[in-house]
Amino acid sequence: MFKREPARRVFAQEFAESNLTFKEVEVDPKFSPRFLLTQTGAKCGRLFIVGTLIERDEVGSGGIYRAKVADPTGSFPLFSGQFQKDATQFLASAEIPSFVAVVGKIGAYEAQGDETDTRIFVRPESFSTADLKNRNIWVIDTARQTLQRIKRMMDDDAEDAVRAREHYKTDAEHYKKIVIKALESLRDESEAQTTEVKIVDLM
Amino acid sequence: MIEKMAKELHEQLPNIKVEEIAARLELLLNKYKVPEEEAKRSVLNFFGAKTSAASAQPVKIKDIKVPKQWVTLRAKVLQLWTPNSDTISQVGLLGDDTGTLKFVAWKRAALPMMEEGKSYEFKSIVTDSFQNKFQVNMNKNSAITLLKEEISTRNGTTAVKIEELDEENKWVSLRAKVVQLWEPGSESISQVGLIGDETGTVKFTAWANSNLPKVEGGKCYEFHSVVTERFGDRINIKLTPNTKIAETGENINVRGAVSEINGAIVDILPGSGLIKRCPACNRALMDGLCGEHGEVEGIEDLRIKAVIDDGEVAQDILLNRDAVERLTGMTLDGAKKAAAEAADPGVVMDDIRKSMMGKYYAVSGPVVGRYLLVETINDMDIVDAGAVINEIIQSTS
Repeated sequence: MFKREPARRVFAQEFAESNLTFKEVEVDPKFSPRFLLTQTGAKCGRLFIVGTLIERDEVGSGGIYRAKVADPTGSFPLFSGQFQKDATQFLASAEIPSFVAVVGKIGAYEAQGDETDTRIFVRPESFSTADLKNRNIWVIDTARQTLQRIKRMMDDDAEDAVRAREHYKTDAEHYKKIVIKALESLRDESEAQTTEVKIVDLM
Repeated sequence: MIEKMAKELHEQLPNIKVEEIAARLELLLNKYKVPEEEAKRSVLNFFGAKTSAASAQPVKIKDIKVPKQWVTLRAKVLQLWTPNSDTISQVGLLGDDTGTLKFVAWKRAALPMMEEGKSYEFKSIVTDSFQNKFQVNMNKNSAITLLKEEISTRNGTTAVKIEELDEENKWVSLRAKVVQLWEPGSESISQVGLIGDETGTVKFTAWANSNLPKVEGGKCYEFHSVVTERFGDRINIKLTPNTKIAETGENINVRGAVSEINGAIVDILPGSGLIKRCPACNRALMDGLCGEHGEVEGIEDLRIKAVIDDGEVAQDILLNRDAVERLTGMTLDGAKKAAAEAADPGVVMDDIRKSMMGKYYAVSGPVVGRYLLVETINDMDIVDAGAVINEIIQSTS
């Protein structure tokens, strides 16, 4: 039975620092989605992002848009073309800045035809308007899932974790810091607590 | 230890003396250092071969627990299936008053052909296990005799719990509560819904031509002689003309009727919003057409098919009109009006998409087939981000 690829939760900084893309070998490459295996071992065929739309530019005149969606750690590059009609329409009239939710697949292109310089981006399947509450839930959700992956990477030999570790020599401390950065940004907003979050507390 | 093993094996080899079995085990285990399980198998094989054909033991289906035994069985052919190999002459299901069992008759055995519903004595057939299930094989040493009397099987279908249902074409009896009744998707179905016991839930279908009494939601029944069938990767049960239904008056505590998922809505699927159903069979119309009844005057309804995703699993969910109205505040009448004003029923789906896409929800309900049937759906709330952060820190420390 067809199984839909789940939408992974990854922070923008981890996305930007990851470059291992591939297609499933057991599927006809024409039909396999492109996967991005991130630094902490998230195998992303699809992503779910809630963040702030901070840039939108029409590329040429063909109704292709380049956009950026920011989270507390960085921003995701997005390209939306003629095959993403709904997303393109949304982008054409979206306010900058505004909270948006994006479901997207992984796209890649070679910069200036240089095989060694592959740029990875998000190809949006859908865009919708979001609010601060759902954006905050996403940050917490993504923090949780990233920490789980870091843990798994440190004590597990799951295939994705091992493969990521071997490819990136992942610095777990670095990704813990990114998670804390994201959570701290919420804490500032919530004003609920001011205790300092230490790295040692997290693991 | 050898004595204990020998006694166990003796139960399966009743006409071989315990001492003889023990001696054989002693030889294998102590002298030849064979592992226990291998030794047991070897003993059964050794004596089984010796006791073959002529001395095959008459057994009941429930007693068949060891492979490679020669047995004699009196049973009824409940079902004949289509063989999936040229080497098989017939394959199907046998039943007696203790249970049911798969059988395979090899083509080279050249046995007489059996008929569904007839009872036979099967002499000198061999037990076997295949994918952890027992079956019997009929070979050229086997003999099949048609019996005049009918072997009773009705009461003999194995009483099982729902979680044990893992195989298709099995005749079973269940004591279960009717958890939900749905609108039948076709006139040939009398009732369809969900029944459950302490171990889980399962979809059931009663066909109109089975002429069974109707069951009521919330009541408990004994379902005698129902048959399992496979649908995709799920097992359902089918009530047949042989099924007996008796209300038990008990109250079964149904387990696992509900599953929960917290995640984001990542897709609204086609067929959501204001739809039309066939007045005869209640199926949703496609382009104004019913799959069974063709062009009909449809009855309007509201529903949402969506995908909720928690980052690990993408689960299809289905909201009926009730759930849609509670969640969106939209009513069927309101939706009809909006559609009429816009001269496009698609506006209702657009509204739903706008209000739900990309938002986090907590949903719960039974999972049936592809869909989680939503009973509750709530916005996810963050009361205090700081508290959540502390919880994360603690859970990972």
